[in-house]
Amino acid sequence: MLQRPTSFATEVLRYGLIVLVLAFIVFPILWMVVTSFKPPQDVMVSPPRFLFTPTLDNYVHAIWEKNFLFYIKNTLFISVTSTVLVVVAGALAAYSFARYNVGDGHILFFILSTKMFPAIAVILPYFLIFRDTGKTAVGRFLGVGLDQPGALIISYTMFNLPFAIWLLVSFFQDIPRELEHSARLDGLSRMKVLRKVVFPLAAPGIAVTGVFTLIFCWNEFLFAYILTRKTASTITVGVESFFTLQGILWGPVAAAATISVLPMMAFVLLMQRYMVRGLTFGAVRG
Amino acid sequence: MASIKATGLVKRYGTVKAVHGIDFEIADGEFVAILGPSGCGKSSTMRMIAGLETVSEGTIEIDGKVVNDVRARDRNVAMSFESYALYPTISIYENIAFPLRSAGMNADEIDRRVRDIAEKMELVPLLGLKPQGLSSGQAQRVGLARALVRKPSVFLLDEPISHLDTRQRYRMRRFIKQLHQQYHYTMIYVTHDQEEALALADRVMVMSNGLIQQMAPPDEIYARPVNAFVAGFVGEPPINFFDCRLARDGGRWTLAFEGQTLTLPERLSDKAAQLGSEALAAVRPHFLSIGANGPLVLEGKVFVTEELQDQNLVMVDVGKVRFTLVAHPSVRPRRGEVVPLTIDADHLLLFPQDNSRRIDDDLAA
Amino acid sequence: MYELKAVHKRYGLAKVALRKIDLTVRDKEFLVIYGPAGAGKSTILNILAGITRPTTGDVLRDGVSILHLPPERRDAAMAFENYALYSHLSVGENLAFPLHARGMARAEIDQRVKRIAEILGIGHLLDRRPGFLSGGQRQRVALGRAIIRPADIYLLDEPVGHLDAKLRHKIRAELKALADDLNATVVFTTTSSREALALGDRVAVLNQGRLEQIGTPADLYHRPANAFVASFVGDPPMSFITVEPRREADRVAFVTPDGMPVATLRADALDGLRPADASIQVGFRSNEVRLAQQGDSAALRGRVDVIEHLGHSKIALVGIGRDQVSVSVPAHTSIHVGEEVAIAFPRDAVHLFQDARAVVHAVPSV
Repeated sequence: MLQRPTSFATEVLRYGLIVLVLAFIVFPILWMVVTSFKPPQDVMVSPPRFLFTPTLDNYVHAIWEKNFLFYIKNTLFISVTSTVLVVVAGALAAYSFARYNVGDGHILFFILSTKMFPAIAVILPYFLIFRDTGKTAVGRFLGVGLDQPGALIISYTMFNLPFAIWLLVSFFQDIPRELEHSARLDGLSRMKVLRKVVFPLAAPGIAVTGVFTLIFCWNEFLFAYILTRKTASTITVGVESFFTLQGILWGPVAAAATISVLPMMAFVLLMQRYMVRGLTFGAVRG
Repeated sequence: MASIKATGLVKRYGTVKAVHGIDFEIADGEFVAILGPSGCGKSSTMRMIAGLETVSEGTIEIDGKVVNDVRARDRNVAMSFESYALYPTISIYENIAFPLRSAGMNADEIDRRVRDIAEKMELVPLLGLKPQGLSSGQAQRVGLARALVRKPSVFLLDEPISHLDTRQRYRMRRFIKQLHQQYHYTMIYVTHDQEEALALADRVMVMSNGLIQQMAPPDEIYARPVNAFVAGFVGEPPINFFDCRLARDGGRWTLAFEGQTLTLPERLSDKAAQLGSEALAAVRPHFLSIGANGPLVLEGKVFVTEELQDQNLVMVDVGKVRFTLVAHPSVRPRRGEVVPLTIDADHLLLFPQDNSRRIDDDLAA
Repeated sequence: MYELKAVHKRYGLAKVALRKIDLTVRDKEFLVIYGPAGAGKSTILNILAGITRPTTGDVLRDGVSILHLPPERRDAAMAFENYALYSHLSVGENLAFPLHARGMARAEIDQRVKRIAEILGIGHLLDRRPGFLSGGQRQRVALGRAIIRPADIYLLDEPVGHLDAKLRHKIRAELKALADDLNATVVFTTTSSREALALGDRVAVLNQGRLEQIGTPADLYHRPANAFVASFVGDPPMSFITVEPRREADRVAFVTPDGMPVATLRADALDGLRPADASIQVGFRSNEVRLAQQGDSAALRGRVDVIEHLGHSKIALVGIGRDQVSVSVPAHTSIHVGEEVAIAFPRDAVHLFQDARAVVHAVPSV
């Protein structure tokens, strides 16, 4: 293709478009952050006020009166545990699908097909199951019952596993078999080959899978809302509790939302290097 | 048919220069091979001729007309790629007819042309088949036919046979050569394989680092390389290089190498005087022999003998330099044996030493 | 000693990779498996390594079946055609990997890595990741990783195929010397006739999963079992002329369809020749024939179709009837396309094939 020099006008147009799209994406986040620093009287005025005296009252309210740190602690525990389970079980399952073609593709398809149900369709059975397991001794011991963290961990794991497996299969398929053959010829056992060769090479893919799973768990609302009341509630449910009978506390909601976004933001920035490598290297391509 | 002329041709990709300002002319009906290692600028040069890349500086003329701003499809240039990319769902006939149909030619003319080219390319029995069952050699011929059916004035081939196996490569090479001999297309053939370039072309253009190193008929490229790069890139087995010191001893120049001193033939006196004290000497494996039978004799230790049946390749270490020589199949020195090594005085070449650095770099790549 | 006994390998239902192969790898020999792409060369290596199981047949080591042994218990070292380098490890760590795996002492590992890297000319790359190397460099690392450790058998799958011509020439010599020094058993695959002849103590020619011939380089070159081997071994390939036999008392004359005599052989040397009128071909190597001079008795007349420069020599392709014969001539020979020439051939360089199977080689004619 012949490349022609671009004119000044087309450059301006190009950047104009980029700015427009960016503003569209960034504005809601910016609005949330700005609102979290506004005093109550400035929140709902029209036209919106961009100059105001910033205050930390909303944060104080969210953290002290609503005990928001408790929700964050819950969410952290539930999300991280589910993510670890998903990644470990997913990697092992995906490896066997990728290498041994277990079930000739049918099982893989069946697993993925469980993703086709809307969450709302399975929520009632989940609710009934956890209501009953919560009454048993084992259920109580493991915390698998309504308003218990175990219930959410299991739900999230089941819900994320199909996608994780599907994502990881293509990562493992991309690793040449010869790498494993070579290591085995050098005398390593199968498990050692997995540990020393396969998993290090699949690290970017595993990282991507972990990040996606963690983000999902962190932001999940429906399961948490139905399956928890108080002791195991997560941040999304916590934010919802700001919608009181007296009205919606917009300032504290914005503050709580900002607080809950920050850890994910930091985490994703930290993992960005792996994410980009993983995304270009593996699954999304196939 | 057409002639091609390039003047001050430069290709830049961003800040990287791929072609550094080259000039060449290709006559009507000539077969030119562009030979060089990967990254030497040979493909960029071909793609500029084809119109697939813009010219950064300089001009390309086809038949005396500057074509810098002419679109690829209006240049009447055909190109055949390494991957022949046939359409799998349509017959060979339709594959060949494809470029004519998209040009909107009438059906009778298309039929006439397709049958004509199929005849030339020995494809008539295959016309009704789908590409699926073809051998790679046949598929390559269909690819060539598809390129030629438009009756291009220039025919460009980019490493068209490098993925075929040895036997098919020989067959295709001869096929392409005969095609040229019979129909006199103006052909440009890009390759990194020196044997292909020498075997096929009327003239070979050796490129390195974006510059033309030498453009000459094959025998001249082989026998009289202008610099150490050309000498090193052309020839199989590769030429032997060794760094040496030159000195004047009375009326004659001498060459000192690994503690051994040789008196240079009269022929090289001027060259030696011009080079001064240090030089890179080179001799082809065919012009080395085991035994003391001439004035230029070195002593070395046999490293390995490879018996290729029609000839033996003997590797001999002289100091740190390993020489390769081509010997009669009956010559089988033992490993470690110390042997005299005679350089054919008529075929010793001398180059400046700075040129040698470039060769080592290219080798390391 | 390794033996493949009637090894048959099928992938899926239809794709046959190996057809009942019997092959012995002798102790301390350098065995080259030579054939076109897709001939089944890699499959043989994989079966020896234990990576692939044959569909039927047996694999023996010193007379004992090793079919059940997994790769990690076979003591084979292998270089893979697609390099199979660990991209998360540096070149040095890649080379050291097999040594670490067997728990060798660090000092000795370092020393071995250094030595192998030097031989292969990759000493300056030890700290780099494979992703930053050229194809040729990667291939050298892969080769290095295979030969760095002592092993019962070395399996090298086209280990120099992706190198440029000069490097291939250099590494080939190093490899031959190294194999001599190590006194190792090596199985090496290649698609290059030159490599096969240069390196092999014996060469097995493989085509479409079938073993066409196994023997010393001299066997394959001078006594090819069939037309495939004849045309595949040697560079340039052997050329063939189709002939018809004419029996004359105790001898048989072979003439071209145009009636030109090509060879006359004693009938008692032609036991293998069947009377049926199956196609008979005489094969010539380009260096076994020459342009005839005055006084040469047996000469074939033809026209020069193509001339190829090969640097030191030229190949003239001479059309004789419907066949073409390659003749090697010195580079300075004056010869032109379209010229009428006569070809002379020595009497002891005749190869006769019937139905593509060799009938007789180099029989002195009458």
